[in-house]
Amino acid sequence: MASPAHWIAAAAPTTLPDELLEEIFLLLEAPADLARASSTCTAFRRVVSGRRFRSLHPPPAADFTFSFLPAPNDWRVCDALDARVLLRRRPGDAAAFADLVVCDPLHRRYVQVPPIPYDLAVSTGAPGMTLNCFLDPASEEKREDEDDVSFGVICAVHFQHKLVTFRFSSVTGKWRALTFDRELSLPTIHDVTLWSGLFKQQYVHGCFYWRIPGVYAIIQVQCTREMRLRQVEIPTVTYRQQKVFVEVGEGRLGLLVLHVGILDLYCKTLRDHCIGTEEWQHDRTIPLPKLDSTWSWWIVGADKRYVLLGAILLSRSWLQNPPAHYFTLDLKTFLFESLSVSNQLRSAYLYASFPPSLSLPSI
Amino acid sequence: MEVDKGKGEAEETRKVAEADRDTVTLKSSDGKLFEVSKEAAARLSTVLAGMIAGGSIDDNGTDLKQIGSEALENVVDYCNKHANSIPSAALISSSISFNTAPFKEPEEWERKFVDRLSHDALFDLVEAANFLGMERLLDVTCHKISEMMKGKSPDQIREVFNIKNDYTKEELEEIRQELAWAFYDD
Repeated sequence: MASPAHWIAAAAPTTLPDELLEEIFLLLEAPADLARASSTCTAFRRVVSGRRFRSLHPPPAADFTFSFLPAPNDWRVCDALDARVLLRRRPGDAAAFADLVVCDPLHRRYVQVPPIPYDLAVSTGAPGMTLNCFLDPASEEKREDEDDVSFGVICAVHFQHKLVTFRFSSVTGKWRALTFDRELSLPTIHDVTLWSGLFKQQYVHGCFYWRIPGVYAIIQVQCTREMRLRQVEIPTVTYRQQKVFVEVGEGRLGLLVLHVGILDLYCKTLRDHCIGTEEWQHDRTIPLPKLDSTWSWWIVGADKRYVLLGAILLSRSWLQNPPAHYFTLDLKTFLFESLSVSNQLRSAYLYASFPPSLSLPSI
Repeated sequence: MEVDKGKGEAEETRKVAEADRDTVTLKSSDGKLFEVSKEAAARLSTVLAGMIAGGSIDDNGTDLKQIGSEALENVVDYCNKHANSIPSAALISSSISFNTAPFKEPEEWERKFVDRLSHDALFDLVEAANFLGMERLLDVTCHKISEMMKGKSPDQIREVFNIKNDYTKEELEEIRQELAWAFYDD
């Protein structure tokens, strides 16, 4: 780095013609870098806000590179719900409690979620491993007006053989332990990374569902009125298949299972959020869209209305970033719609019901 | 008469020799002469390519009044280094998979080339590259300047680039509010 004396002597880039400043600013991919550069002097701002520059460098609708976070590359997306995204610091993956932030990628804001207090953790058992963190959909549903920016974060932690769940409320700014009507025993974990990958919550008709790795059952977690935990068997034909829980009509829990070339939908009736004892019913078989070559399908995620599926072309080398084709399945009509073709295989995430760009900040 | 004739012949001979020469001579605003390979100059600079093709290259040094000797030395240095560099495997493979991308990352030697420059020299070189229509050199120098801006606060950018903050207090406050998301707690 040059000495301050040298900087004084340095040619100010403001003497560069606008076309060269444009060239330089075009290389600032992160919106935050561009914004900071444009606020240094009026000449820079004039170039950045000029029509010509804007046509070359359109402002992103939302910043999913999370460039507004400190050390943006250190974070991993845990969950996305409406306007908010929950992220977890990467080196903290192996730590007992994850370092969390909730952000609004549209308005480029974030709030830090405080760590779970040590005494609260100790009161529930020995320190454990964070399995799954997600934004509480129930607090979204309860929200009454647009100005309400409260949110909740739920964190599932594995304490030896027990599953312990904590909830953070942005209203109180505090974590509390969620106490259920029974304790849930879990098999001993040998590989936490494998577990946290499988242990992904789903939210259907006011309840969370977790799959238990190695056990052919799901956990239903009801946080609404009574705090209930239930273990639910799944049909044997769905073992070892990719599957996702979905809302199908009033009071029905759907289990969508991926087989070769088709999706099978199994249903169970819910009574007052409770799963009955009757068997799963096979509701329908949905053929996947026909793709001409060898495509391999996977289920990316689901929300209330849509299931996002991806397909990659297997005939090409993995090293070459094979093209991925994304489809949505509408759960009302059971029709597929082609969404996009992308080479960015790794980063697919379902951001459903994302707000339009003129909406108010959510945090 | 004899002398004049001799001079004319010499001129003629030199012109033929110039056409056959594989270098061109460039003259900076402060009168210094630089030689550069004709092939590299024509390949890397659209302006020099046009002058060579149009025969407007001066044997005594083509006047480049807009470019100072330090910048011109760097331009010539870049052309020579470019002529000697073998495209890396990375550049070849990236040109296959991202052949629509407008910008290719600088190669190792290009990074080193711009890293050793002072700020003055870097900004002079950007302008020289722009004037001579040297697209690749322009990319490499602009890339270096953009790298110097990344992750910095407005104050740090002003300091590094010696920019005068010419906003009024009110304007600055307005910008800070509008772009609050882009500011760390600085």
